[in-house]
Amino acid sequence: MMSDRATASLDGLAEQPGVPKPDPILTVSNVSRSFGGLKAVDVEHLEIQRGMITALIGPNGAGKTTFFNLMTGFDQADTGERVFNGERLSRRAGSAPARRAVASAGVVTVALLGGLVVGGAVGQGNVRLGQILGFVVGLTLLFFGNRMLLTSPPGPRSNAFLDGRAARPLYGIAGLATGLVVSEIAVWATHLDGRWSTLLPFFGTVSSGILGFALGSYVQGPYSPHELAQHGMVRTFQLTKSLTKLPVIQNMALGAKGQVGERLSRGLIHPLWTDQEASIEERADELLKRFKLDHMRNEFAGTLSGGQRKLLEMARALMTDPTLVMLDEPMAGVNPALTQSLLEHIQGLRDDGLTVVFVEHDMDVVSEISDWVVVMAEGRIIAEGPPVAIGRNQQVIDAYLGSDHESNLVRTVDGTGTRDAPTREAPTGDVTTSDDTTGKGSDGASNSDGGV
Amino acid sequence: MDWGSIFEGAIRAAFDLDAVVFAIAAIGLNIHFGYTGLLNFGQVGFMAAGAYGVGIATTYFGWNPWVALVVGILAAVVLALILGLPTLRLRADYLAIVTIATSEILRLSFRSVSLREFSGGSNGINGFANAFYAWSPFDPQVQYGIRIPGIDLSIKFFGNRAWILLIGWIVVVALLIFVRLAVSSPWGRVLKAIREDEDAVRALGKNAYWFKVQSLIVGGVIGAIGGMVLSIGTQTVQPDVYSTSLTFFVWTALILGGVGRTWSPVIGAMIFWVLLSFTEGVLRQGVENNYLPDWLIDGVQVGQVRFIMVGLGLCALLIFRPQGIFGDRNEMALEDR
Ligand SMILES: Nc1ncnc2c1ncn2[C@@H]1O[C@H](COP(=O)(O)OP(=O)(O)O)[C@@H](O)[C@H]1O
Ligand SMILES: [Mg+2]
Repeated sequence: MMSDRATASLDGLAEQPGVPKPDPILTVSNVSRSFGGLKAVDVEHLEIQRGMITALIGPNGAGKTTFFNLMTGFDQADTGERVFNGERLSRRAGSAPARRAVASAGVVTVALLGGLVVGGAVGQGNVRLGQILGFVVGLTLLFFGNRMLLTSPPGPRSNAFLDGRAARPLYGIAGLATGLVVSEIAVWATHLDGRWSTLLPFFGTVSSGILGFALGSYVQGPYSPHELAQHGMVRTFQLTKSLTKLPVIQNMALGAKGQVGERLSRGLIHPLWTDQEASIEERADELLKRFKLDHMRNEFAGTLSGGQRKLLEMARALMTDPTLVMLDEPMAGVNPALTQSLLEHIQGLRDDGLTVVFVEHDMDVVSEISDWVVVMAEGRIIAEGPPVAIGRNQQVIDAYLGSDHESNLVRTVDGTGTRDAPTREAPTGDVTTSDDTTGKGSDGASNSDGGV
Repeated sequence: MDWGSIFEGAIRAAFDLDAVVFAIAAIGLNIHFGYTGLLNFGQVGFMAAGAYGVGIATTYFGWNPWVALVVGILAAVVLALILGLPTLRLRADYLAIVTIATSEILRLSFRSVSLREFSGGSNGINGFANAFYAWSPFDPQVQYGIRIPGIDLSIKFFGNRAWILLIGWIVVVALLIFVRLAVSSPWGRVLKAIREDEDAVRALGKNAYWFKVQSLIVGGVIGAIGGMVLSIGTQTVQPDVYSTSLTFFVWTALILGGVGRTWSPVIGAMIFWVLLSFTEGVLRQGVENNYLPDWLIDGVQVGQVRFIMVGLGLCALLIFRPQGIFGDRNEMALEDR
């Protein structure tokens, strides 16, 4: 029912690449990434519907992993925009704190340099007095400037100064000016003379300028993976990353957000975090049970089998309380019995209200659990639509035929060809499973009942 | 051969200044490498920062010894930031290159003529440690030792040495408690996770870069404390003491004990110096008593040959016990599949 309702919201959408969705959690535009001459990813527009399972398929080398890397900050796109949960998350500069910081840097610069000139004149040649005056004026302006910017709403597109694309030069200049004034004041206050009275301002100005430049680069730069993860976008890797020399339970606990004890000063005082740790472990134990890993709780993760590691990585990702889970080939190298339970887990995530994007080659699997399928080939999105339709899509068949002769093409064509009836049945199967898990399913069921 | 004096020398070496200094420096390195997986090949740079920080603050600026200690620690923090901020975003080997180069740059700068008024050039800084010994409860003229009932050993230290050793070993214990508390906390868990796989940590929303910077600072400050103990213990800061080979001896001590265990750097440092003292004792007495012929080795060569022998012993250790003396072989075998 859950999936019925979910797919229902996508019913009637045009089956064409880049089609807008009613409630996208992730929207990307004009994302491209080249490795040398090879354009690994070139996505014009893609929207991922909230609360659904979207499958990303495509032949090997289509750019799926690279696309995941770009989305999660592990790689930087050459061009492109990313909007997640209504927030523009392509560059740090777009964020409110960064905009404030950039504006502050601009204000300080203007104030300092202005202060140097004006103060020099007002102070009747007393340059140092002028500098100090300028500094005070700058700090005052900075304070009020920040207040003003805090209250003005951020627009979708603002100018280079406000959205931070000018951060690097601005911070650099602000750093230079601040360094100059501060070290001049230091020289004056300490009555330095001789060699150091020129060397100190020199080094002070240069190092402060470099610092400003570095800070500006940071503000102007792209988001890091950990920042995106903190926003609720979590991923797993095609090659499983289990922390082999940590016990399974520690692997899990690592994923929890907002841990007091992760600050060294607090971590040293164990009573400050042991309560939180206990509740984290409780949550971890629940998840481990769900993923049938509870018997391995205290073993090193390195002792798990390949399939168990996939499960652990997924469970660990869930510890971060994500809203969007991106799974890169979660089923690869997992035995059929485990595959079935992995599929159930993925559906369980959707039923819990999470959004799932996963990469998979097996068309049977894809049509069994996904609500929407996006097909990539040679970096582009060549088709998207509900699984049934994708199986019939001639372009998709060609893509698999054209580049990847042995593995999936026959099954893809076959599977979808002969699976016309079974796929219709799949939702019915879904209904029974979600009815079985009454606790999770009831919410969705009652909702869709109301809807129907 | 006088085995009694050989053993006495060896036991003495286990507690003497070199062992304390190595233990402290290796505890710092253990945070870097053992827990975070950072390849710091410039631990001696941090030791020099601590030693010169104290030396310059007391002699050149004439500040009081407490302030001087703080200066030494701050110097290590600044060094860690300079080394870490640019390199810790890059692959692990960049830190290795930069740290080894920087530690040499530091040594060469400290011994340079143009900075002589600051750091004393190649003579180093002397006579700055008096204030530390003014607090000593021990009489410098008297030898102090611990008597173990039933065993006839005469391991004694003069008052000043006894004082710095007492302080040094108290510092070691304090640092071990600190490390124990730190690595068993969620903070330490993030470090260990970074050691295993940094990208996994980043994908889970942890700022791995910042944790690595913190690790470099903490381990570096501990290294600086080692440098301070060394300089106060020898009452001098000599630039050439802080050469690259010291870094590698500290690494040796760490690997000998076994990485990633709280206690092991201390045991490793003690064993390292016991081995050196023991081989030296045996060789020297062998030469003096003509058990070893002159054409094979003479008295002057003993100092070098003992390092060769210890080196061979280490090779054997790495072949037969790669996890170090206290490491866990099963844990070592857990590789990525
Ligand atoms: N770091 C890289 N350097 C150079 N080429 C790369 C890199 N990462 C991916 N590629 C290339 O980009 C293309 C897409 O790769 P990938 O995203 O891994 O494909 P998929 O996951 O769909 O199989 C491939 O041709 C691959 O060789
Ligand atoms: Mg891939």
